Amino acid sequence: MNEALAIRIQAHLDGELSQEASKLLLTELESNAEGKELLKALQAENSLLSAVTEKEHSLPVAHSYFWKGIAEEIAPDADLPGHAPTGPVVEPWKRWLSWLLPAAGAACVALVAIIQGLTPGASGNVSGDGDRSKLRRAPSFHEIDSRQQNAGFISFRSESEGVSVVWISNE
Amino acid sequence: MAENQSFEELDESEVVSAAQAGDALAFEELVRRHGDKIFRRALSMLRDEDTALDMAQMAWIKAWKRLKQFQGDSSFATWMTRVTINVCLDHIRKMKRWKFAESIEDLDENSGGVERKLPVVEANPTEGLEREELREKIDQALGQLSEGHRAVIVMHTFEEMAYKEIADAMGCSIGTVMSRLFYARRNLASILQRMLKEGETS
Repeated sequence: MNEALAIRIQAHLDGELSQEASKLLLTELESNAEGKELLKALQAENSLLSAVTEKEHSLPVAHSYFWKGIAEEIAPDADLPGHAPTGPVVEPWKRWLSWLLPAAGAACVALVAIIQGLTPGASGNVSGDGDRSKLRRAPSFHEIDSRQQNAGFISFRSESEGVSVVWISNE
Repeated sequence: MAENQSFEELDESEVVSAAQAGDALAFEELVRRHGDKIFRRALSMLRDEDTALDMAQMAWIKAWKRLKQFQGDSSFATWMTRVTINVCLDHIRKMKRWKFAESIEDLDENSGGVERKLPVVEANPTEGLEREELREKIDQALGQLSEGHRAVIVMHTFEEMAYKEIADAMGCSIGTVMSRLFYARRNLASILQRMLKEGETS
């Protein structure tokens, strides 16, 4: 079949030919079996595609995430309510770090206190009579200034009693 | 947030007007309303989820910049879809995956002329398939078309664009559109027929 005829048949089906041109084409097809066959095939395909709607696809990301990318481009200086700021964003690890550091510090202090309480002889150095429980119960030891254990000493300061105690390991 | 909720209740034309006046929250409401459709259109043309997501975002950004050009001659969704199609076509051009043929002869494409193609295509290669199965098969077949063929099918069949509109979008002649569409349809029918035969034998 001639390609120009095939494309005219398609244009007729798509409503792109004038009425006159369409009539002329249909007359021509009456004596053209191959052309009629093509018309039938294209009609079937057209009705098939128009009858079946497209497969549904939704945005694969949350709207807020999708919008953020757009907002950063269209309104970089705007602080749109209800959305992540478009200015510099604090990295998540920095946010974690900001509360992990104090927590780690507190944990170190607590650890030192525990270790100090369990270390044999520690109370002896405090009270001189070997009564370790005195140190654990002493409410006035509210400030602890601790050096690394590897350094071999730990110091305590009681403001209420005005006493500083330094424990030096003999190991 | 209260402002945003108020846009949800407004008619499309009011939201569009507010967005045209520069209200980013109104524009966000438009993104919310049409985001899925725009992504779907980009995906149907590009067939890659990440690229489609990027192009959909780019289309919205471009739409924001050109929003004043929207005169309301068509619905906002139609206008936005055209913007998306143009962004996708630009992307395809940039990727140099498809060269725009300038004549019908150039469109002989990859498997020969009309004479070689037509006899193997039956009138309805998908007869007897259930609707959902059919939808799936068509989606798969569209995925196997070249980007150029797929784009023209999407624009004509799903977006109901006239030859002239497609030619404008593609930056080519109407003759090129007619040829490309013809070969695209024949290819689609061949792929569907082949898929059906494979389904029967497996």
